[in-house]
Amino acid sequence: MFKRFTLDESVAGQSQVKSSLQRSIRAKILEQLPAIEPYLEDILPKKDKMVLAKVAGHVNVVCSPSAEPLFFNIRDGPYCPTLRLLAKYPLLLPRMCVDDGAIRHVMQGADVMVPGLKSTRAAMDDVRKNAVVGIYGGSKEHPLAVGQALMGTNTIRTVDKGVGIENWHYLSDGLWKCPTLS
Amino acid sequence: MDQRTCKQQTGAHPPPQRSSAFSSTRPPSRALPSLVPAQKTGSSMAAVSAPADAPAATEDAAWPTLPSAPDATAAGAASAGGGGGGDGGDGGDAPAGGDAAVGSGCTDAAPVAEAPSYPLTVEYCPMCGLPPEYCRFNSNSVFAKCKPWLKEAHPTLVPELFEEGELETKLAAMAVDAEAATASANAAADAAVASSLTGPKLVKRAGGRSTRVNPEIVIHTDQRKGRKQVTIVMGLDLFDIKLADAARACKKAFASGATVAKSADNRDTVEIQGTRAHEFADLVRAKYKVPAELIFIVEAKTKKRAFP
Repeated sequence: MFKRFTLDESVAGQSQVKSSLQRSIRAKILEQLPAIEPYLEDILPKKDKMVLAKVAGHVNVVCSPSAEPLFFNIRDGPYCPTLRLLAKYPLLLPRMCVDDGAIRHVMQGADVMVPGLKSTRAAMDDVRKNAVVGIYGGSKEHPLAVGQALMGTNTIRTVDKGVGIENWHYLSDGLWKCPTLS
Repeated sequence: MDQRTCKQQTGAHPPPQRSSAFSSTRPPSRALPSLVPAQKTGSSMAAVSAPADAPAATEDAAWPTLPSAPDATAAGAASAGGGGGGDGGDGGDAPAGGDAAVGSGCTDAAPVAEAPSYPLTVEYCPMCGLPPEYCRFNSNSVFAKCKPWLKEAHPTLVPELFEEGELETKLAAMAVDAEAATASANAAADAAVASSLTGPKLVKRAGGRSTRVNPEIVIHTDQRKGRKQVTIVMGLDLFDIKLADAARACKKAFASGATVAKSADNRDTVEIQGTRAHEFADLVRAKYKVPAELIFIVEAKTKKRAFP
């Protein structure tokens, strides 16, 4: 999604959001990521104006006042923390560990295939279909990518091939290379 | 460290987030036999069920009591799975030590550590900007730049098979050897072929006349109907290459159509669909050992005066 993202070309506009919209975004994030509650005030302080960047491909990026990207969503889809935020707060998303052999490909934007999740070196939290998940290297501490599970964990265990997690945002993609959008 | 973050996560999640669907819906009788024969499946399943929560713990605890698993290792693995369910701090009825033995990617390190304090501080490589663990998944050239810093800060993350410098010298030596070898081989082959092929050849031309021409392969592109491009190769026959063979090789190499055709001046040509001039030049050099200096490509049309 952010493979060809560049600050100059992909960002259509950034604007401070109205406080009503800000409230609704906060509420949505809180609803989708309940684990964030104790830290929401640190991440998105109520009194500061958040910045919303519109990005090519119907993506909205929620940024801090200093234009640091924090969450993004596609059309009206679920909000997903950026990797830099997830690295700071790994509790936000369920943890899907992939086989070490898959890391290189995921870091080039590949979706995570089912065999990479079923290997002995992989491990999965239980998630439902369409859940937003963090993707980790099997023996690694930091997240490698974030994406959406296209199958629930139960389905993944029963099938042998196919795309398990769609890769939304990965290390060294365009969004990763922009610590701030300014 | 991995273990710790895993556990932190487990502890900090509110229970509803942690879906227990897997442990509760999966029929244990189906799950257990797969634990018995292969430690592989056993470990991954145990690891996966590790973060299961309070509602799941009762299910998990029921596993080892199943009569269908008399095997001791199977029971051990199953209890490890049950133990995983308990170690979030809310199940508590099974021994939590079991799952450390069942190594998996996510949970193979230290015991549960102190309470987490978020945000965690994350360290990034000053060269490539990635977390240091992922430095080595960069391209080799980038990773080489990361190495000095990585060696200082995280020596365990640098896979060092050779001593410093040894690898480079070895590689350099190999590269030089290979280069010299291939260069000399190429030169020899070229010379051999050239000696047998150069020199004018007798060729029949339209009108029954024969002329002597220097053998050379000329490749140019042309247009057919609309904007369809074809590549036309002349002169293959001068090198005693069978045109039908060459056409077949092209079909295979380029996955496109290739036919033998007569040109307007009655010369035999190979016509390849698409613009393949440079690729064909490579092919004909590699496959038929035609010397490089005898292959020509006709490109860009030149500008001409309208009224000379």
